[in-house]
Amino acid sequence: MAHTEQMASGAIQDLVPAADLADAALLSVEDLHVEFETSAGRLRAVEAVSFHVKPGELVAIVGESGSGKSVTALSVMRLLPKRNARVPKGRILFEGRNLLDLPEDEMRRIRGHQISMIFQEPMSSLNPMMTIGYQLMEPLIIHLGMNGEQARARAVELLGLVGITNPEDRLKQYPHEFSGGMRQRVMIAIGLSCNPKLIIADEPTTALDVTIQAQILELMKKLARELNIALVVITHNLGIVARYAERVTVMYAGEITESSTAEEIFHRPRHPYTMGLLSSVPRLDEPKMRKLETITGLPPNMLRPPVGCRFAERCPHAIDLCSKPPVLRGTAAGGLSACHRLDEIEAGGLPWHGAQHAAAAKGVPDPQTSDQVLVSVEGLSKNFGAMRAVNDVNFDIMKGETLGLVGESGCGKTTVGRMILGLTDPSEGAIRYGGTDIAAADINEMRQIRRKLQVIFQDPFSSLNPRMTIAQIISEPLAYYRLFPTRQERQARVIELLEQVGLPAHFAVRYPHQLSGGQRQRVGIARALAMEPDCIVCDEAVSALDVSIQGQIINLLEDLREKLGIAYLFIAHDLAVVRHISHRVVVMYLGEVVEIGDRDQIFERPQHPYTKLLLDAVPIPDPTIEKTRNARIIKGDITSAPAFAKGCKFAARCPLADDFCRTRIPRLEDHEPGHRVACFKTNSGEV
Amino acid sequence: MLKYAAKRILMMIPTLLGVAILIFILVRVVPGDIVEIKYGSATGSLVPQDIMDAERARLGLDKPYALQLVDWLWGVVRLDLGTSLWTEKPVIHEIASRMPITLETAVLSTLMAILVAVPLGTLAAVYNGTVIDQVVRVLTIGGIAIPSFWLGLLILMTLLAVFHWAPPLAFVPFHKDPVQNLSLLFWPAVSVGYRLASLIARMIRSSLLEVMNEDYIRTARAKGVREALVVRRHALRNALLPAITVIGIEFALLIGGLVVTEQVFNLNGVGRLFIDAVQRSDFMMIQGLVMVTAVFFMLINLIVDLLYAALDPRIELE
Repeated sequence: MAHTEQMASGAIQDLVPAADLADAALLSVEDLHVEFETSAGRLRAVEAVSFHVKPGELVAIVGESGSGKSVTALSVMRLLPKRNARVPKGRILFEGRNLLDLPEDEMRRIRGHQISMIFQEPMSSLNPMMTIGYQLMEPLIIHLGMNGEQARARAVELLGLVGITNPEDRLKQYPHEFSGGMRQRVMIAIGLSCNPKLIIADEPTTALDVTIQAQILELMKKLARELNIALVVITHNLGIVARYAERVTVMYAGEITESSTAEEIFHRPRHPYTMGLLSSVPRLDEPKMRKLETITGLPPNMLRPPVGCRFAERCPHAIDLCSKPPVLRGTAAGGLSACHRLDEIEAGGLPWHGAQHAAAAKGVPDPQTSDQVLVSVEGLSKNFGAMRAVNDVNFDIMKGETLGLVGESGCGKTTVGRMILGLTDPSEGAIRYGGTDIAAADINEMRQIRRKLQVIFQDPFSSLNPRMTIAQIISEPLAYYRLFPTRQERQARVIELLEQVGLPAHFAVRYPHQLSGGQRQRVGIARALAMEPDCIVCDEAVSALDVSIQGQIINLLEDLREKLGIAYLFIAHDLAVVRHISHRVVVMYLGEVVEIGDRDQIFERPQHPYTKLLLDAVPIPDPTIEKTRNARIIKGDITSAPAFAKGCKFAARCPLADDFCRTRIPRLEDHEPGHRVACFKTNSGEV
Repeated sequence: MLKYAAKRILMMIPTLLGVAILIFILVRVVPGDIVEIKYGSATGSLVPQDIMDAERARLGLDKPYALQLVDWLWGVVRLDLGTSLWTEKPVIHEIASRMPITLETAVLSTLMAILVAVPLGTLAAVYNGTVIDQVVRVLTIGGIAIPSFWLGLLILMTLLAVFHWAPPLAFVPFHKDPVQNLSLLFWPAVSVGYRLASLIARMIRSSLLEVMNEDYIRTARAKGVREALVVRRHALRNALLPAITVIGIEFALLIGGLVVTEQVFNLNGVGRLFIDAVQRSDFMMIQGLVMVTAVFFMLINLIVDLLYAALDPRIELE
């Protein structure tokens, strides 16, 4: 271990920049180590991390869960849990002062005043028992010594700055009266309140819809520019990084693997992990001719990290040398990379080859889907009390196809999925599976239908019973349907299923908590497959997973569809993923289908203004493209339209809407064969 | 809010009628006959049967059950709980004369419990895992484990043996003589309140620990709020909510449940009345006491719900 530390600190001497650079830096983290004492042993969450931020600069730290990026941010704020966290080594210089040495009281005066932090979960980051006004005025009173009146005036000004209308009235409201996007605006207002020099935003938009994400990020970028605030954005979303960051630091398993300008990172990545990460995400701007070239395997166990390069286990270019810890070295472009084979990478000798490379190389054309209707949704509506959550939805799921269902949260897509599964009864309309109406089916019919319609849930952590082994979880439905009468047969089937989803047979005796998120999602898929279904409803099935794991699961779902001819109803908010996996796509807005068509029609020739704006809001992981793109942003959020609106429900947010749209309801009409749009502007050919 | 409270009070009527019928049946299922107890026939005295029958008829116990039930329910509807079969005074007067002592003990012990439990629970949570937490744990587990009547006995014996002092015998209302009133009721309140304080303190400790892990507490710290204020202003209010339910339930229990403690401290309260009524098979008194306790329970439940709505802006009463 001593050896490793020596190497690591040796690396630091190379990279801690010359004195003038350090002086220019607003924040400079040097050789930071963070450890947690856990019941299972000492967890080194962050090791030898160094980076700096200049005044007014936009820096991104990218990494997957467990990479140490949030821990790094919390150490800067000195908000690590006191009970078990320790910083054994390193310095965090802010305007030349080492924050780690400051007495608590002085540190407290920096928090929220000089450095602010914005957190991931806007729904839980505000105190539910206090008014927005109080929470906004608190730092003003603490740090700037304002009296109540001054603080109120400034709070009103701040809410206006972050785009909240009627700020005077809203000050008196409580967080639950705000939508997620609005709460994140309030968090930003709190962060800005004392004119900080630095804002650290930890996954600020991960919990938000793509349209709201674009609004929030534009707002943060604009305000940071105007007020000359340095912004550190911590994220796993490469699209966000490409659109907003100037410099990027990539972290993996507690260490920095690469650091450079955004352009270099995206166009000439100099570490295999960065390359793998970039090829793992489906992109809206690339033709779908390939399998995702994902990173295989899992991140290392941080309680016992590998001695050498921590990525070596998953790296296609690993050589013997990689069992020694790599040194963070300067690259030709002025960045840093911790790869033993940096020289070869710079010479262009080591392009990324995922495990799926062979398959990818030949390109995977879309297998022909049949034109046989499997599930038919007819005039489907659902009322929750006075609210109409789903209104007159019609579509078919063909045999063996993947039908994407997209829309912002609250658009009714999950409710549609639940009705198809027979978990929620429709208020009106029918769902036909093989001619039988699911809602009208009796218990025996439903039993048979349910076997053929399976589901994969979003949250792999809560959708598996923690007290059952993986074998029990997968074989339970087998026993229930008496598909395999003897235990031995069921056992054999479980192992077969595990193999099918890429898990080793010995996982059968494990419990869910012993598995990682991606592995659990594979178990969820195996459980669904156990019934030999015709159709699986995937409700946000990959959105809780890390980028590299998400790619693996997407590939698995595609493989299974090709092999077994299963149809998917793929409900998701990530448009790039939907485009990658779907044959046809349904776009929903406020309970109604606004556009339906095949993938290319929706993504290449979107007709409905909502679809267009939705696509525009998605950041593309390419800084050059992002610079040239004029981010058009949808105003307002899904609550903007009153439920009783007489006309088109999107009219309130639509840039094209006129009085005609506001008074009449558009119907879905054929735009081209198979492509239906519900918009007066499109259908009259005015766009 | 008022409308909601009125609605809830109206909804109490069917519940109370159900309670009235249930308790009517229950007291008659349980063996025991007040006339036999009165004339001591159980201990072998030789009162002639016809005298006992006459007494039974005088008390109305010879009527068919259905008729007795109708009488009882008609009384309940008119807020008349009948007369005690033993003292032959109106039940409501008997209860009213015993209520102050019980109510005051309950209020006093609950107040003391809250005053002790909130700081104690907070300390334990803030210094989670330290010596302070350990000390509080020992104190509170002790409070839950030790029966309050036993603690009462210990207190009485200590007062007598060490301080040569005994509490006064007669109850005097607080407004007439606060000193004598408190010297009588303080110690029973302590012996009951200790258990309650322990319960509330543990509740507050665990809910505060949970709240301190919430994202909004991290937000408060990130704003630079002083740690003491983070606990007091940002966390404690959220942590107190679940404790309110416990306090409400426990307080309601005390109204009908100070049975043993009243015995130990020789207090003439409702609990004592309960025991006497049961021992004498005084049906009317038992029924009346159960009805009064039920009303208390429902009112306190309503108050807890209203308090919740007042404290938590997310809750809207309809």
